[in-house]
Amino acid sequence: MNKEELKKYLEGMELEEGLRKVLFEIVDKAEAVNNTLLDTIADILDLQADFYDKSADLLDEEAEIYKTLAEDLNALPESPTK
Amino acid sequence: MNETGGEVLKTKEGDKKVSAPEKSIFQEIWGRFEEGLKKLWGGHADEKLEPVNKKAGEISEKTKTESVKDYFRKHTESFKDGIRARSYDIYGGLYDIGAVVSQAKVMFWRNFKDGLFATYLGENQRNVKTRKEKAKEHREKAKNIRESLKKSKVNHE
Repeated sequence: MNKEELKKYLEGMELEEGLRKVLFEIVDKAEAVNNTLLDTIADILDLQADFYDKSADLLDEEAEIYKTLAEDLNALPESPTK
Repeated sequence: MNETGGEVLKTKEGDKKVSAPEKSIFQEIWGRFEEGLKKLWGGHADEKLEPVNKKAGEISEKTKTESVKDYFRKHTESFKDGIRARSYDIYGGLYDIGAVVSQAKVMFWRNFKDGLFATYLGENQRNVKTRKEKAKEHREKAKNIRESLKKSKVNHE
């Protein structure tokens, strides 16, 4: 597998444009397609997966904060006591 | 409005003679009372004043001056009570408005929770799901590169 074939393979993965550009750049700068290069690409994809997992966790945390806020607001009296 | 003229105080029971000082006092308080009532009740001032005129006409000769003063004091108190009552109504109304505003805030937040907030939560949940799916996809892609592609590369080489 040469660089162009590897690029075609990556193209077929339908990656985000930014990530695709980074990977193509790495491929272009690499001396050859070897295990080191493939491991590097796989590591980057795992990092991207980590990012998505982490951002999902943050969204979950944010939702929890808003749920607590909603419960507090829900506990407010219907009308003030005279 | 029944009005005094000259030395005569006109009432429903007929004209009543009054002395100049008495007439002056009555006219003065009448004028003030009427002016105040007109400001408060506008076109209904005359209707409100009618009993006053009648009462004034019933004043006995001996206690005429004093009675007019008493009547004025009594009606002034009543007038003040009326204003006080209206004030309470107004403040009560304002308080109710305040209560409505407070309740509106509660309702707003509840609507926010049930409406916008629910929408937010729904969108949040979808985003979480999408990101977790994307994370899974990227891990699978990474795994494919580490396993399948490396083997394929080796095979091709």
